[in-house]
Amino acid sequence: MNRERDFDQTLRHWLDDGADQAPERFVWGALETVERTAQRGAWQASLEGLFMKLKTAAPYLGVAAAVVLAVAAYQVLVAPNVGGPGPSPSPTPTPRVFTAEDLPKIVFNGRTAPEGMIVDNTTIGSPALRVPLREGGPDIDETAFVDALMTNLDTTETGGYVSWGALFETAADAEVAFDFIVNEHGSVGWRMARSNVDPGLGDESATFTGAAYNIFETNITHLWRVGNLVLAAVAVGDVAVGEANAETLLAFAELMDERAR
Amino acid sequence: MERSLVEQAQRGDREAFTRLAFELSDRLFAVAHRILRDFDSAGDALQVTLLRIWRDLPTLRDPSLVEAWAYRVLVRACHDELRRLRRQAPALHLLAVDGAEDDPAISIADREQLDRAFRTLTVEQRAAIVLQYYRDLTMTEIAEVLQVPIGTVRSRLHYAKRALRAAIEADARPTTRKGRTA
Repeated sequence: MNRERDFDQTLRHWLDDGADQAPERFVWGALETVERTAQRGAWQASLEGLFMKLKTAAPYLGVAAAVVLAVAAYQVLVAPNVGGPGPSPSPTPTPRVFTAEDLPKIVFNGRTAPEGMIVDNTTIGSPALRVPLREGGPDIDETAFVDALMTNLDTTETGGYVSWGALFETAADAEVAFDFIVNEHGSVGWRMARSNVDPGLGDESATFTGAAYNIFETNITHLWRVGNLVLAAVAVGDVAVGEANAETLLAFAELMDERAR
Repeated sequence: MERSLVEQAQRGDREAFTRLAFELSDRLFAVAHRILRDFDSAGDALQVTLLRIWRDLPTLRDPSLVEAWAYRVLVRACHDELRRLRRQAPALHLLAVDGAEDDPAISIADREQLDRAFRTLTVEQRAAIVLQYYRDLTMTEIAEVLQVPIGTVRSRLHYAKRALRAAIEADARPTTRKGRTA
């Protein structure tokens, strides 16, 4: 025992030798590079994380994915339409001012996600706002920003869904933010194309498809604004492939939109 | 670590990040220096670490965990740095730690042997040793930093210590024969 203690002591003494302070030139050198480097959008990072997680879980998710998709499709496609007029949205009767408390009721989370869908992770606040911004792109104006929420919902082994919302002080502020995010998605850096078909969500909306984020080759993104709230529903990877899944995503987006009314 | 400072930096505030970088740098550099056993390499690893921290900070979910997360980023940077060094010059930097002062508690021979044996360890083993014996982190904290199970930390420490102890004990005999008087 003493021998063990002596050795530990020797190790501690030996490790005590060495620098305790970082020379400033190293720190300033790094900070100079930081000046020229944009922070990584949380959207990209979370999708990478989701992708890795799903890849690891792939062998176990094969069968579960089909069940989850079926349940989710039922929840969002069939259930909301029972007794209703159909999927086409009606115009918003009166403008509504949302507060931060409304966000978790509209953006899917562990409690509000369609039954059968698994919430992979959640990001809130400013990091969540930055999610739809690409790396190296212009930064969004946060002056009128209030709060944001994003969740990843995984449904297959090679892709997943994203539910996102950002709240601004006024509808006019949200309009500016919406235009900014739409322009970003249309920029060359995203490798996405805006669809000619308006999804008819909220007060104004746009749909993008393509190979954004440099992770999944196939993505569908619905972006829309309801009053002072900007929302997004995204399908990435395999879940974005095929007409059936595009329909599921639209129903997913419409469920969020419905909750925002 | 001030939580609001981390949050400001997460929002892209470069001034806040500068303060955060200076708050973290000494500890990060000290750990890198001990893992890599080379002053300039530790500086390179620190720079890479600070840049990665800045870049990925928005993805850190709990700002209170910034230091543990920073160590994790640092260990990865040390790994990259060591690989780069080995590719460039396999026999580079087989020297004692720059700036190390003689410690009467350890003989010069022991220090040299420890230094040599330490360089044979993997970065993960080195990190476990440094975090436990220099930063005084618990097994649980080391596991958290390195994102591995506690059992893995225990095994890394066990094999690393065994290699280091063997180096000292092996040194004891030839040193005696040499008489250490020359």
